[in-house]
Amino acid sequence: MDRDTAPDLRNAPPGWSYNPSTWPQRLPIVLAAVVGFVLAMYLSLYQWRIIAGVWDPLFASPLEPYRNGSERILNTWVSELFPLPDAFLGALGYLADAVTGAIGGARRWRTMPWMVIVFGVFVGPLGAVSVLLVILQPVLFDAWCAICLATAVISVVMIGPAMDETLASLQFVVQARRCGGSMWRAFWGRV
Amino acid sequence: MWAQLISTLVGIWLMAAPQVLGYAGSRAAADNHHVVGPLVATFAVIALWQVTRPLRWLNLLLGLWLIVSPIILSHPPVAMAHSVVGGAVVVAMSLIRGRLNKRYGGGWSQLWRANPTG
Repeated sequence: MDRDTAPDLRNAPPGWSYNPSTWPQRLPIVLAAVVGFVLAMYLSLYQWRIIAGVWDPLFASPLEPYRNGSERILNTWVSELFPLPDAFLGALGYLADAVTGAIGGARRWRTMPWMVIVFGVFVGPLGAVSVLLVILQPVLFDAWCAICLATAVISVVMIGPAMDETLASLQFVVQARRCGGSMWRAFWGRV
Repeated sequence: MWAQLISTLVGIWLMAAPQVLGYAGSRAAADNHHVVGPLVATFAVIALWQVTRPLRWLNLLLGLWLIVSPIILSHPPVAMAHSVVGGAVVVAMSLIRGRLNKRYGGGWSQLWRANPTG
């Protein structure tokens, strides 16, 4: 699942067998986030009623007048908890993942620890909220939303591969203090 | 890694089982599996990667819950059978660490150990 490439070893963190900040490591996560963004934007277009319906090949609606499970799920009080449609908030989350995953070079675990840690912080909660929404679908509303499930899968699949780079940056910042330096300066990559 | 894949499939199956096997009307059993199924699948998927493999221990707890929950919550027989068998599989899979061939500079514990080595 992870690719070890010999030339990158010189940029690997101390005690690591590979460099988690290379493009082969990061690009799949960024691409997954972009797909998640597109799917979530599609759902929010419906929640804004810019499009009249949502495609759902799998699930029927338990309730009139919705044509399928997705339309039921996208019209619940949970989806209207915030001033903006919940799918749009999700889209912003995927966009944040894609942007913070893409910025920086192949040594960013130590040149930009703050960006990597912000990336890790975005990826984790997005996955957690996605799974919570998946649980609420059948428990509260007796319905399923196919594309919502797809976006949840994407957000969960991103967590594992994002965490190695986050760990490398956290180790780098903690190590700065152990060497008598400033964690704050290390966090901003100024070492 | 294959162990976590099997747990993922069990979790997804538990999500679908109340509808597929027709116990969606038994609220306690259906809710139990609609909550625990996605959690098992989530932790198993995250634990596919070596750096987050320790998350398999959360599935040990969820697997044990699947085994004992039919005693606490009312489950029709088919739901009980699925809960116990699925839970036993998840417990067994959570105990399998799998091959770890990458090094992470001491891993997560390196962040809070007082006197780190390596």
